[in-house]
Amino acid sequence: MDNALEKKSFKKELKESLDLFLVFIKVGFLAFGGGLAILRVLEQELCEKRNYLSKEEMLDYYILSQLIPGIIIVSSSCFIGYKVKKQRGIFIALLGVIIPSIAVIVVVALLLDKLIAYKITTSILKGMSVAVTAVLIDINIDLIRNNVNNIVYFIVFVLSFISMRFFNVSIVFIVLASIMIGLFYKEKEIRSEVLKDNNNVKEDK
Amino acid sequence: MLKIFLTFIYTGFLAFGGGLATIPILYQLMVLPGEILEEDFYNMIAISQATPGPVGLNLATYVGFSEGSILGALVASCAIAIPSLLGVSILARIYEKVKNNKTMLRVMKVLRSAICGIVVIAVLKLLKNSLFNLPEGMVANKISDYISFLNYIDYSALILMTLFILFMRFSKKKYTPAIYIVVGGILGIFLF
Repeated sequence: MDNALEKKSFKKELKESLDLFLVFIKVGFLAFGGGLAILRVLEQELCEKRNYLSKEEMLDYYILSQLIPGIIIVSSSCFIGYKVKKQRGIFIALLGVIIPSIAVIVVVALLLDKLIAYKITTSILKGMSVAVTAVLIDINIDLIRNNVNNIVYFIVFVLSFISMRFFNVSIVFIVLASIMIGLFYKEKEIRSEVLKDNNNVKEDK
Repeated sequence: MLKIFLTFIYTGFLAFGGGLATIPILYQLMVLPGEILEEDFYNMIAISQATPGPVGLNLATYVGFSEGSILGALVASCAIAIPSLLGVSILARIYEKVKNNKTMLRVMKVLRSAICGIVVIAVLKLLKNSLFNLPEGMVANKISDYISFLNYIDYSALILMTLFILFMRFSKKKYTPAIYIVVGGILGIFLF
């Protein structure tokens, strides 16, 4: 009996791992447009369809990935893998991210040198880039609406934009400064914010 | 092969701030010593951006492929992922322990707002590339430069993008981004 149960849970485990792997493979082949587009597709697959993790956690992983060296989406994927399947998940996610990239690049490297000479190729790429930008604007609107929801967060949002865009401040400093603000800023010190928060909580319920 | 491996491990550990940070490092390591022609390198960047997947990973794979064929691509992409593997293995454990701490929650909320600001910068860069037909090497330093950008706006791209965004905002059903990108590619044949 025990043995059968163990076998069943092993089977379930294997199925979940395979599922996670296939999600990353699928996303790897579909997600044009780099980082955020990939994150959005992962969000749909893992948060909305499967409930493996919350959208906030996804964003937190994206932030944490900025702190370690390496490619951000690769790191974010590893974090997601860890969340779902611990250390083994990291390897699953890593393989899932790398394999499509190798497959796509090898095929493209062999073909595209010839294709890029045709005007139709550049037209298609241009149309795709317009769509990618539209997708990213849509994601960005959602991100801002969900996270920048009081005056202090808004100031942080504007300051981080200005300091990086116009003064080339490194992201490491922006992250450190935000941590300092987070340590000293208590939302509940502002009364109106408390009321607003309570309202939000009620709405959520 | 060992040289490719070491090159990309080195690149990975220095690439703070993500895939785009690998470009100057790889330029220094591969183009300056003459391993890759400058023109080829720029083509590789363009193709890495146009293909699915993370730009930095694609670029590393591509450079690896041009240096050592399929095995080179394999070695390069694995090597550049090693810093992520190590970093996450350590950081994820710490994060799991502290993530329900009240102070930590506060810090994360502020961080999320800061990241939103940085994401806006990435979006603006893409907007510049996809919405304007700018002459080579044109950069904006003054406010008047931004205004002169308006002369190069591509109206069919602007209209297409506006339609896309309106559709995404107001359609009841949410489609995966891949669908929009395929549609964009097909419409691109007729528009551009």
